Amino acid sequence: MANNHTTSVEIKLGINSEGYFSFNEPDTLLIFIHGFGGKALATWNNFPLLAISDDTFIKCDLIYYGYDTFKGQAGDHAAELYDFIGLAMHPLTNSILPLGQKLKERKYSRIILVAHSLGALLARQAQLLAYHAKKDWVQRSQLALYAPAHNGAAVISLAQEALSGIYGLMALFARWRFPILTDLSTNDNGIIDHVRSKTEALQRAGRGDFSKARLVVYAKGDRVVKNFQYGQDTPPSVIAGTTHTAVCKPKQQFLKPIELLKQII
Amino acid sequence: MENNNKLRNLASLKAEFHDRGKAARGLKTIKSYVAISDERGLDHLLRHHSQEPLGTRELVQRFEIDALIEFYNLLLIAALVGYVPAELDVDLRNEIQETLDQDAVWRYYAERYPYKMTELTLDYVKKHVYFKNKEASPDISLFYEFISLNRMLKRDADIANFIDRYDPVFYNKKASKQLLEMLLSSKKLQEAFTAKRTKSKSQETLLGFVKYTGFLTRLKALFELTEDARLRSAMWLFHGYYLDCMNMEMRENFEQAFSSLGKALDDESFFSELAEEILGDTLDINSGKNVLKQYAHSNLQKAKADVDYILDPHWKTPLLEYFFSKS
Repeated sequence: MANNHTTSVEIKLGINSEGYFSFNEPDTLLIFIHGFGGKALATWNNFPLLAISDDTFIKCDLIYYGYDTFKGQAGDHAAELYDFIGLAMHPLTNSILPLGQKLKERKYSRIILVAHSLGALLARQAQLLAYHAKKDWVQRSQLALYAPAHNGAAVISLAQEALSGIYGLMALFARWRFPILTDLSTNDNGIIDHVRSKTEALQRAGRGDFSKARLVVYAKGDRVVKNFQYGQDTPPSVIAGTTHTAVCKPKQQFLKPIELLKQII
Repeated sequence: MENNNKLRNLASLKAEFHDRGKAARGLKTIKSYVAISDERGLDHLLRHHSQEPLGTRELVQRFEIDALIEFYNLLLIAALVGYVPAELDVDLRNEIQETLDQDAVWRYYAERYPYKMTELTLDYVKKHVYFKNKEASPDISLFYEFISLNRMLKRDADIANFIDRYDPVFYNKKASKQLLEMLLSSKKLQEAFTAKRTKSKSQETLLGFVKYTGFLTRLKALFELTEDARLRSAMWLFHGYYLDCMNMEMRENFEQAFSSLGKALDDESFFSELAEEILGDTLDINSGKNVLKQYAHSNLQKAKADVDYILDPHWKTPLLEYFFSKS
């Protein structure tokens, strides 16, 4: 069994973000972005262990980025994600990778934004912000999307699947999260339409290669998001017998989510 | 996993949790007392709060020493899952023994503020009762998730406010009474649930309790991921200081609190308003209302079951038995 990464390193940006940094010289950075009601690490289940014990990821740094979906709008979180990605390009300089781990500064040739559900919308918007700000990392970025909510979501189903426990209940009743649920509602003409039209325009003009998702995974049992083609994304892979929230959670008897990601590493 | 890999993991774990931040400062504090043989000074710093109230600086220093103790206890779990060598390394073993065997430190965690796991950690290095070295297993993933969960617990101010109410050091009779009154009143709970402001006073009081139940749910999920009874036991004991306090102070109140919450959620108008707000005029509000109501009640039941599951003190037994069998 390979073991090529640091222990879980706390990242004090976002909410409960964590990183696993390669002991080898990495060329790729993977940033995992959870969806509504998700958690930096818990959303991805066994991804961390499976990834760091698999030679495919030997030259990859893995960051699990967290944010508070109960507060703020999708646009706020996308802007913060955009800032974070910029800093994560030089993790040692920007204190994301602690000096104590005794590793060198990174030079990534590729950044893969691995996103689930709402995270897909944030990742796309972060890329657009980077494009307009002429950040060079955007041209090195790629998208890998699980059950993406970029076409909107059935918000009650989403709340039911994503929120558990009485905290979820309390948050729902206290209406803390409505900005973001409204953002995902198919009745709204806000950020979803904005991101789609900007993405399509870029792709039509031949300048949006980074926005064409390299991996799209649908859950056949998904009751939350609308599964249909988005721009010039690669054709989707469909996993049967899973759900909106489980589709990105590999485990020993369900390796498909990570096997699919490995195909684009 | 080869021993070299485990040693590399150990170095990485030390860099993250020992060589920087609170734990590093905690070790420095203890060493500064030891260097001048000021056993009395250290004992005073780690005194029981009833002996003399604690100043702010003293509290900070104690938090830092707590962080160091937690790191040592975390190592025990890391050794158990095979993430680091079962014997750790000689320098670390010596450091743990020298630190935890200090009379003042021992009195702190064994007598004044009983935290059983720390006694086990000391036994582990002092009596060489090492776990069997095992190959890397899916339990390592669980270990990462455990780390993540602990971080969440530490960084969440609402949870900190809640658990402090059960820590004898911070016990505040008035604040505890206020929380209890709210948990036992379905009317007050309704107000807290529907308050429009993000953080009304009532929500603030309730939020820590609610989030702590979420933590217990996640801890239960971790327990269910492993077949290893000693690992479950170690995870329980790691949080055992607070879980024991909860059991002593709060167990029966939890029962009543869930009953009040159930009553608070029986109000039909709750769900109608919410369904209207989410769905607008165009969709089936009645069916949305029923879906939400069902969701609310099943979530409540699940949360209650999770709390009962974790607060059960029998979880601590397997690891205690392991050490007992070795002594």
